[in-house]
Amino acid sequence: MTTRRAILRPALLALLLLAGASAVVGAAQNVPLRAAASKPAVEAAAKEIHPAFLTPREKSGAYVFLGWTWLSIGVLLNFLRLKVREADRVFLTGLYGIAKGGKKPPEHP
Amino acid sequence: MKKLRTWLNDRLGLEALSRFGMAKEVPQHSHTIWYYTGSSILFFLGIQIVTGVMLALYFNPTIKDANASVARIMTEIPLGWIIRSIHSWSATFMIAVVLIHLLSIAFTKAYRAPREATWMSGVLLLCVSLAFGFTGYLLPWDDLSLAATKVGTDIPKAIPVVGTWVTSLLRGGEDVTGDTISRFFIVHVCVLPLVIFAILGIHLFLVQRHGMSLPLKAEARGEKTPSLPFWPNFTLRETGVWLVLLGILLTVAVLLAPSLGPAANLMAPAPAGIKPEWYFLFMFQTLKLFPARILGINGELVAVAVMAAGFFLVLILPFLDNRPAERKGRIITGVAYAVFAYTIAMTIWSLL
Repeated sequence: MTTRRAILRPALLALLLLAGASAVVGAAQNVPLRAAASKPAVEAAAKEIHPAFLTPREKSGAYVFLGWTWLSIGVLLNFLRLKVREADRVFLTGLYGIAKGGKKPPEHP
Repeated sequence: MKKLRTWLNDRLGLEALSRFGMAKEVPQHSHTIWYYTGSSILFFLGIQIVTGVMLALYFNPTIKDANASVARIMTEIPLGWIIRSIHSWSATFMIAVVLIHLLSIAFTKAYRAPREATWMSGVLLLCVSLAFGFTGYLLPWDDLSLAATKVGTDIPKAIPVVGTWVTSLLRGGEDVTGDTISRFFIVHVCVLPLVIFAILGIHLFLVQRHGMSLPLKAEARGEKTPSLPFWPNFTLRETGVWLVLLGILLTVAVLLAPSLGPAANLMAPAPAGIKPEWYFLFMFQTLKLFPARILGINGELVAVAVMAAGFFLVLILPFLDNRPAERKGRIITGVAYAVFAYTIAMTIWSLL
């Protein structure tokens, strides 16, 4: 059970992050199409340049990226909450006193 | 995994670091929330470094190419506009958190002995952060940044004897030109990072040396407050705060990306209604309020003198308010609240 969890958690996390990253890459891949190689280098702005999504694909890519970001953050926060709870419980048992000469925490089996 | 950990530990001595983290204690009390601001500054600084390096790969600090290279970053480089936006917004967030951190120290009076040097290094870090903002503002080289830099570098001129020399040193000549861009760029990416790392090193050493401050009452009574180990209990909580900050930063950066104005024209008059970044607004408004002459003295000189004196008082605050803990230094606290209210009021006035 523990081994399965140990594999499942990072795998799930990696999947989430990969999916988020693919949204970014998808948006990014669309950009070089705008800058044709034969085009001269960009000149100084003649009028104000507003950063904007130039294609609907890029726009949806950015919103998907934001969605995945918050979802990943939510999942990570949940993991952290469990880790904090566990760390606090271990601390309350007094096992963290090794630095001050207390007993050493037991090794994982 | 265990083998790798053992291998790394044998070579780097990571266990000693972990023992240090576990031995370091973070007090738990009603002001504990303010401890998170310190690490949040480091988090934003890290983001600044990463995005700054990415932008520097494409930025050309010359009068001809500065604006064009930023335009290229925004229109041609994949996700360049997002990287620029993250850099710009994380600078804003970093300065905001530095100010909150400083105010939290000030109002909890955590600057008192033995933490005077920690406070002073923190005030210097705020100055370096503002210098980062000031030098970075010119780099896009648009009308607004040129006008703001002209106004900013003009201020030292009011100082007698050395004023003109200081302005000329900042600008690399009499006026803001291409030399100013290269100068500001070098200061922004080389000089200031070295300075901030040096002061930050001292600041962090002092924080470790004196430990985290306790509420005045607890410190005066020598009370033992409950505490948590820095590693892993507090670090895990800090990671949660960092994640939320990262989410907010990315959301703001994507939805409210900064625009780029037309390339600066050295011959054109300053655009109407120019304003500096929000953290300089109170100074900008104060300068506007001062009349041209006060008792026969140049009004700008008086304003600069008042602001310099104010900064000096903030720097030496621990020596002004060094009474025993049971005496709270009510006058100093009252003045601090008044200055804080003034700063907020001036900033809002300038925005209106």
